[in-house]
Amino acid sequence: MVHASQRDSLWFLIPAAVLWAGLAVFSNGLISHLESRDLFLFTADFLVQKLSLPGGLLAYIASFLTQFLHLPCLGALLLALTYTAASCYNSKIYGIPATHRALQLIPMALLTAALVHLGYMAFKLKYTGIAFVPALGVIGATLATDFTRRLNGNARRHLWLTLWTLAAYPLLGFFALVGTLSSGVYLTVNGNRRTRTGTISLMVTAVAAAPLVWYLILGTFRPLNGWLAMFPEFPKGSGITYYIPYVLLALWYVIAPVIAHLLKKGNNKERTPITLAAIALFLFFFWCKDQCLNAELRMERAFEQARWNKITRIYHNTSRWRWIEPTRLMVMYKDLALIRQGLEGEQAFTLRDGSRQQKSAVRIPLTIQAGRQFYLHYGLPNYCYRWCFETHAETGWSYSSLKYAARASLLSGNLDTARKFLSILSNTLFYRKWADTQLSLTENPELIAQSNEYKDILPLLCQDNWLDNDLSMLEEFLSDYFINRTPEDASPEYWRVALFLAAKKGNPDLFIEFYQQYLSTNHPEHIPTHYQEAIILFAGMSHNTNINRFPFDDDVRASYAAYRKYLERNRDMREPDDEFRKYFGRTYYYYWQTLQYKE
Amino acid sequence: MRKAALLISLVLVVCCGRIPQNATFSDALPDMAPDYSETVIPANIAPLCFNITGADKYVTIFSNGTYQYIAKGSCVNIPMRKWRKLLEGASVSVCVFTENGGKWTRHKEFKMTVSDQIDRYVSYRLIPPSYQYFGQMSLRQRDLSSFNERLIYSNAMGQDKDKEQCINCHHFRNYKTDNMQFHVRIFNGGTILVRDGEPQKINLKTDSTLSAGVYPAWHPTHNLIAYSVNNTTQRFHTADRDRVEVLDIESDLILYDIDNNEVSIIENDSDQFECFPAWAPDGRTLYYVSTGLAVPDSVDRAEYLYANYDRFHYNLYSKSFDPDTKKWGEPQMVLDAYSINRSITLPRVSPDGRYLVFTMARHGVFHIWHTDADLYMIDLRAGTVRPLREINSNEVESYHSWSSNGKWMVFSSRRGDSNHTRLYLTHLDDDGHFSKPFPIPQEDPEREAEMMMSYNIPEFTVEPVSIPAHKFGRLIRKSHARGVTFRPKSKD
Repeated sequence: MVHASQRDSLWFLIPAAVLWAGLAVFSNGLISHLESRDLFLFTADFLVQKLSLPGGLLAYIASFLTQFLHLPCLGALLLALTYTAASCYNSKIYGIPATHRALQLIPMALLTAALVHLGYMAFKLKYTGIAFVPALGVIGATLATDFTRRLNGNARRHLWLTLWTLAAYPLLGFFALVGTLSSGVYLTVNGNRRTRTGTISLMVTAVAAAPLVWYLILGTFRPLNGWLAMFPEFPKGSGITYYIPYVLLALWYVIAPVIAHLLKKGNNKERTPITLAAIALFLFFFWCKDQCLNAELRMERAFEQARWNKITRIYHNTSRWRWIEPTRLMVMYKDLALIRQGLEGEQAFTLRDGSRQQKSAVRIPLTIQAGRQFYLHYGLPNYCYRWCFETHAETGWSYSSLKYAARASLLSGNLDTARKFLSILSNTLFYRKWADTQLSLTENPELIAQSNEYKDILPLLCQDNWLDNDLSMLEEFLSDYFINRTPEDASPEYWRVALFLAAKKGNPDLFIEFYQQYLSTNHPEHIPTHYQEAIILFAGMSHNTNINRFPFDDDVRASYAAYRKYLERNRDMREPDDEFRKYFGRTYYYYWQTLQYKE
Repeated sequence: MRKAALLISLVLVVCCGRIPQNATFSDALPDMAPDYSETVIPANIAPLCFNITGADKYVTIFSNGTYQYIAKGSCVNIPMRKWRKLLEGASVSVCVFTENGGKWTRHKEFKMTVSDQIDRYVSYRLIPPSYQYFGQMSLRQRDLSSFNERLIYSNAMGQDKDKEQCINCHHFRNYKTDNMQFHVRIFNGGTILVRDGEPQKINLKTDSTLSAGVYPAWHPTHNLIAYSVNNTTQRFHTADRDRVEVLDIESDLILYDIDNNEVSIIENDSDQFECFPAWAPDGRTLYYVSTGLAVPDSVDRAEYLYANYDRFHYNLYSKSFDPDTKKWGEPQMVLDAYSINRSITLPRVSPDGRYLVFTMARHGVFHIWHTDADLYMIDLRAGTVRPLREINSNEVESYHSWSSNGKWMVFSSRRGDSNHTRLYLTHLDDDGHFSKPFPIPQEDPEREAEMMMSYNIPEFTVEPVSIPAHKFGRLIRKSHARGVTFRPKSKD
């Protein structure tokens, strides 16, 4: 026998568990990314900074909670619990009847939709704690109604509404106003007719005046933005769909008292299954289904953990489906992961290439997405540092920017600067240990060369100085840098990377030149398969070269012979087709042929 | 006498049991930040709070010979009233006791000499030290006699979503705020000119000038402002400690006549890059910097200039001026930096007209990004130049500004963490020597170390900016900016 209260608990427990599982499985990359782009410091200055803008307390608490997204499973659980708490509190205060239980889940669904729909906007948010802000905000708004409910007498209630709006606005921003509207509507619906006009007038005046009053006091924001303080802001041109869940959420809290009132008065026919289906459909529509973005976010996380084989695995698992073309960022992650594993010459071209556009109305430059990561790992700490600061100016300081700024400073010998960033990270919960380890490197810089984190980067470290500008074109800049700016005393590792990037360029003369340098500096016991394929291909194109003098593997000779035969048989092939791909899709020939077609 | 008083104080304190007896003496100063030891401090400065580290317990005794204050704990924060009493003496002696493992040490005593008053307000811009994006930046004013910091204007009040706004180059006429200016760039851009307390937005760009006004110099006696006009770009070093190079592709000097709302050319030689105008206090000489680099017609100007970025050596020039007739004399070289492979920027003349302090580095015009940038001073009366070794550091020293009495200078430096610019105060004695610089005091001594913003363009004023931020905001949000007319050079 299940009691009503137990049924109530179960009712929220099951969706909470489903939400937890959904977020942990399908959105762990996003969760991890949101954490890396946020920052919470246990310092008074950080609190003061947050409180200087309306909604500051909300941002502060949200950033505090966001740090726990560092562990995606725990983060997903925390998100599920917060969203459930918002829903639970909402249904309790507004009194949504049990016959319409599914309506009780609406806040939870809207909060989830707002989060999982973010997509590429997660890279452009000028906003901290976005995963928690709306949930905490609506909990605050419900608190206002809860308190209003408990008061007796209209005078007291009106006084409370006025005080709430003025006092809560600087702390909760937009959500304080939602609380005012919600409480006002509650009083209007449940109050007597005589006081309705007074309540409505007060509610409207308070909502209209509070941001202006605080604008005059704080003066730190644009007055027109005052009413929407802490309401997420997306870049111009990003479309309205990102706003829909937030607008509906606010609307729900304003009209919830009316709905509850109507439901109590109307018939009590059970409509839960239909509403549940509608909610599920709504969530399905809003859940970001961009496999490439999800892969990018998961690769980003694996990248931070230096789990190179996981990156190649994610790439392989995503790109094996014909209908999923990888993005350039995915390709760049995969390439660097293979370089770190020393497998670029063996595997880079067995995996499918791609250049799918971002599914985003607003293009996010790769430099903003991952400039600092790639510049650091390709040995350009100055450029890594630059993008840390650009990102900081654009979206605020984050754990990730601070980490990379510290790393870049360490690698370029700016130890004082590195100490500054590291001492800030020492004030964080999850990066303290890392920061302390790095701080010890600032005391003993000679240990940097032995550190696992830097030993692969140091041989690539840029030594020759010149002035340049990447113009936000990450991949082209890195490729040009390695190919055109080769230092005279370049390390074997540098030549290895340069040869790989030359192979990607597909220029035969360039490749052969770099191949010679690679051989003379790396002295490989076995030439990686893709480079054999490239040499046999380019040598074959030059009729003066006798390919028999190169020590090619039998497999490579055989595949090249098959490739030549295929081309002779299909002289009129205008672009690499499915059949060509089937036979040669895992070879350099296919990559090169595709490149020729593109050019 | 002072030592005797301090000794008596110590005896009394020890007898009263506020500090332990039997402390051993140490010749070393305590580990403290910021370091205020042996500084010269203004008689009206806010309490100089500092942190002491390296021990378990701390007792700090301040004394001016007649009055003493005892602070306990590692964060030494003196209440305002007690600090004011301490400043009534000619100097403040500080004695720090630290306890480690139950044993007390009395550190070497240090002194802060109380000297001339300083202008009460210093205005600056707070910016993230970024390159391309602005984010949030604000103009602020700090009351140096307290810890109050007031917002003059924040770009958050004017920008909207992707429509970003840069604000820069705030400038005051004769240390007063009823005549001041700052620029707003990009979104709803223009120059905010406050004239006799009334702000207006003007557009200083004309078809005959390179850009709107950039670096300003308000004439001390007439309603005129000299500006540089610059076409500025930047590129990034791949492996240099200086990460960015900011260059002017072109630059000239213009004069804005406020009464007639017209702009005229001061200098616009196409092979010369003129910048950073600064008036002498009598308003009859304009100092500025300029370099010459002839760009061949056949090449891309920007590419050529960046390929030769290390050949930009700005010299210091002056030009006589008659403010009544508005007639200019010929440029006169004041200091040839080119011949010593150096580059001068930011000349600023002391209010008595005797000294000119400038910033000098190996090359270039934007020294805040040049680690080797240091401050130098010309004694205009004696005709001598010297590096200001007593205040320079191994890191960047750049923007500097004299107080109205010429006794103090505020300058920006990155000596703290080589990345974030902080403001330092220093006192000029009668022999033309500056005292040991110290950072502007903060209530929380760790604030400067933790803060991720840079201070920029510190300028003294004797009074606060009275126009509220929202009034600037309202003006700036209007897209309209009043245009100016261009007055061509007269043939004579």
